[in-house]
Amino acid sequence: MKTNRYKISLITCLLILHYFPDNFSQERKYDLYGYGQVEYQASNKKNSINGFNQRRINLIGEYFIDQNIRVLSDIEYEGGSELNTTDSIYNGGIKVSRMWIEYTLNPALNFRAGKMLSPFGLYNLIHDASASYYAVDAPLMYLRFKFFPGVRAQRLISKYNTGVSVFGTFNLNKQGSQIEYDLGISNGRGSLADGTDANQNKAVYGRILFRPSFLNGLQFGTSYYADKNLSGIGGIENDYETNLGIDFQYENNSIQLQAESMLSTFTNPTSVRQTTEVHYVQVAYTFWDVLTPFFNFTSVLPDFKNTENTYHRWNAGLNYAVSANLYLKSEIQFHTYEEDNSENGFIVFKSSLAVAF
Amino acid sequence: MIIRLKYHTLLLIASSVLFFFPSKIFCQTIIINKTNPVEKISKSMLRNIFLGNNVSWENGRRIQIVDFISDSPLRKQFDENTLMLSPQKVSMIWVKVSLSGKSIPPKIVHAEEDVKNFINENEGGIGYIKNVTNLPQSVKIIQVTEE
Repeated sequence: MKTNRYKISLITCLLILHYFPDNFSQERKYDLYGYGQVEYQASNKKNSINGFNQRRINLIGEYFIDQNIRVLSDIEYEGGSELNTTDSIYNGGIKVSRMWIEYTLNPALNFRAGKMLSPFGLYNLIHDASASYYAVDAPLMYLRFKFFPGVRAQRLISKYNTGVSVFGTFNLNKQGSQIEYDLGISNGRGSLADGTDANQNKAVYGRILFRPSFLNGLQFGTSYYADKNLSGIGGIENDYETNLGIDFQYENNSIQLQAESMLSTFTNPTSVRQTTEVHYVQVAYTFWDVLTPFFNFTSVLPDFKNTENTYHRWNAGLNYAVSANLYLKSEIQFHTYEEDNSENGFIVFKSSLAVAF
Repeated sequence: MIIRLKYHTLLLIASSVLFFFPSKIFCQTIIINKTNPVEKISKSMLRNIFLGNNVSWENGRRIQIVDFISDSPLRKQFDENTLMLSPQKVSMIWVKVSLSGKSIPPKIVHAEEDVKNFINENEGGIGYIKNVTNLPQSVKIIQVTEE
């Protein structure tokens, strides 16, 4: 019995060495890079704590098995510098943000499997990589948001997905017009701590991006995400939630214009289907390649049928590029919202150092 | 009189050349690995490659860009004439492209010899140079077309 096991192991090893001899003998091509963010926040919001925060550091490892197969891992250390399970006020965490294996067949057909960021809108793929955008945080539609009093803040879409995706780029003409697509199926929200699915329902998502040739730097996109959310935005278990987004971006040497809209449907705590709208526009202008003032206006309409309850956020800020990899940015946010028929609001000041390395 | 006419004619011709073919005058030579079947490339494709919008060649081989440091005059010319962006902006775009997981950033080098050597060693490599002498054995020049 034991001899048979040894024989099988030996044959397996020989087969592996036979089929992948070059890969084992070639020089390892492993890259380690990442990004980090330290910030300061002050606010007049009730119960808010003003102070510094080691927001996150992400270590990304990339390895090419061969020219067509890439493995990427992204480990995030968020909200603190040490893990101490006995410390009750500790708020940090370490998690696998991404871990996928990618196979490139040709420009129009590629495959990925593993845990990946949902390809939704302009920001979800660079969600935490603050060094890759002007503002301190990604737009409000990508963040955890509190839709109802007494219900925890949640995202409208799943930030991460564990599953498979197919994606690629079509070059439409010789002038350079392109269409990019990314379609996937995953476990959706409510995955268990070990990453396995908590229910039999799968999430589906997709993004299509059009880059016309008549104006360099212009792009239009649309995204879709649907799943059965185990905990539900309104706290309803296994709630079927759908999200549709459209986005626009124009970028040249100095100007960056962005606009996005998102429609999200889910069940609210009173078991009524609800549609939420989120829109934002953002304008940024870069002086001397390094100094970029930006302005963002976001409007949230939590209930499409009840236009009285709105949430608005204006923010204006300044981004200074110390280098292409290091940014110092500050912004002031004015939040206004209606609750119990009264107008409320608060102001947040944020300053951040964001680095890519 | 004849000398003055000649002078004016030469000036006129030089101005015309500068007006009609500015990009030709400042254009670099694009080189790739000889194993790559591509023989010519359009300017728009070049732009899409060097901004991370195209990540693989038609045969599926990953595109491996080699570029110069951002304060290199050759890089400045290429970025401004071909990509129509400043080197700083191009570097910023690559921060976004690489952190999103879409593509790997260009290999950054200091000298033209480093570009030639990188492409000689990498089958998916692409880069630009000014001095086309002493090309390594596995490196070829490809034609750049307007469209």
